[in-house]
Amino acid sequence: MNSNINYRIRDKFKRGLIIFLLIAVIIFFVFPLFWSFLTSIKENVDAWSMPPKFIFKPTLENYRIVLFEKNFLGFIINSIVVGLFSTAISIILGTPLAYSLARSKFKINNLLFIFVLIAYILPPIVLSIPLYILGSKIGGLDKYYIIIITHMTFGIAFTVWMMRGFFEEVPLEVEESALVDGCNYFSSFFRITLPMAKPGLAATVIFCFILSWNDFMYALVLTSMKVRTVPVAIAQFLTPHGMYWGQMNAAGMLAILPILLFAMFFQRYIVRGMALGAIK
Amino acid sequence: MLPALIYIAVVILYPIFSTFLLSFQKYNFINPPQNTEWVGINNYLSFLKDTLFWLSIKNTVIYVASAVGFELILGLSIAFLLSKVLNNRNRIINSIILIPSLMAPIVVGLIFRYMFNTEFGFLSFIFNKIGLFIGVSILGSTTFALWAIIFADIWEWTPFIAIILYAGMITLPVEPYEAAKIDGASDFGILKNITIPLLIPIIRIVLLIRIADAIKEFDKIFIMTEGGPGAASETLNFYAYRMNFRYFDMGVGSAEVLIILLIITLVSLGLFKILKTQGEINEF
Repeated sequence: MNSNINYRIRDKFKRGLIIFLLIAVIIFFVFPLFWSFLTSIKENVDAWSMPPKFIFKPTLENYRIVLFEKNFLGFIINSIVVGLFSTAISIILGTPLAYSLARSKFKINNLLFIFVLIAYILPPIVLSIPLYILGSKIGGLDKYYIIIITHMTFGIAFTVWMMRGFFEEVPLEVEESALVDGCNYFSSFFRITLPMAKPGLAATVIFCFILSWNDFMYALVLTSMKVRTVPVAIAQFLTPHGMYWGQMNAAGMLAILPILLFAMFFQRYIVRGMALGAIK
Repeated sequence: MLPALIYIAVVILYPIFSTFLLSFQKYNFINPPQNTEWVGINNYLSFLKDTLFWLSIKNTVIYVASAVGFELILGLSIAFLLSKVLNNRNRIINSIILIPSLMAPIVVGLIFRYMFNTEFGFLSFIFNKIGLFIGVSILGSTTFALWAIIFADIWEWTPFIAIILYAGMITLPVEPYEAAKIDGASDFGILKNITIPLLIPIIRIVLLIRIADAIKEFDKIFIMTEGGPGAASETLNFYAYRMNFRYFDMGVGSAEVLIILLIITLVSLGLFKILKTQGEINEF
């Protein structure tokens, strides 16, 4: 009886300790973001005060300057255009390949799959050199299409990787019965299989967009002023404006705003996407 | 299926092929040669003789090993703690904690450049309070700059590993755990003898993704230190970038890039092969 109570106290204590540790962990991962947000709504005087200030008069001035005077609105539009186009084309080209990899049982499939894996992990710098040389010859530097083409390399690879897994989950029997009922291969794919893989498709679309939105190296090498995307704008902004931490952090916050929204609403799919489909 | 394959072939194989050709030529982009000038393996020899190349190799090894190592240990611990107090996936904790891994690496770098700032940085402030790094610029120090970037990398990627391992943990079969409980095994014993062995397939995938990513690391280095001071925090990828797009010596640069490609391909094929021989490829 006595030892039973002891056990219970020990269990309670252990649980308390674990929760305390987890709260510490969450603070560790959230605090830098929180701090960056606070700095983004501070006036310069407050941002520069030492020791750091937690209580101050908030202002949206930094956001106004960054968006309109430093043209971040334009960079955001560039990022959205590149993201939308590269995602759309990647999905359109990648989904059929993913489907055929999931359904046919040729030996060559494994080889193709490794090929796709390599395309996904390919360091951007490998493609940057020849594309830079080619781009400068045909006048393609600082154009939307060249950056969309590079983002499609990882976009297509990612789509194939993810959608193959989702298609494999659609039972073969469903398709077969659709064929019996008078569908041809195309209509059974579009009417039956694709709708059933819809959650997976949504996850893939979101993730393709995030990958494009976050890309830095291709955009750094292949664009200059006209189609500069948000990450490059942030990096270029830093050098001459190193002292304007309020504005810098406001720019950073704007860059992660879409990610925050995605993380909130599509969390389950995102975990799967990040693990390349390893987690169901 | 064909369009995608053709696309991948054209946009990936052709550039790799032309990079390969370029790596045996003398080619400076600013002053491109009129005729192709073949130099054999001289490009390879020239950077093999460069001490900065070997420094960048050393930095890459330190970076990949410590960042991925710490992330795996911390991620596993956090996943273990989560599995102790939560019964199923906790959406709110997941989405909060995942933000560092989802946001643009360039913003991670920006935030930590600010946090490590000597005058206004919050981390510097905390360190100074406890008597560390007083009067030292962390990002400007040859000893600490690389470690500051590793710190940012750990902050960025530990949540990713933790959430994935946690998601794996809650799908594990319950029988071995019940048996272990009856035998009176300790929490640590269960983690070591049951959970980790069962998680090995997922751990491998995570390692594959993280190691390939860490070798490619560029964004945070660019924004936090630009490889500096000197070349103290320069990894292989950054070294190759500087050769290509600062000096525009794309002959030598291409040779370096191919070395990176070779390393990444070997590492991932190695991991992929292990997965395949164990029949876990279907899990992928």
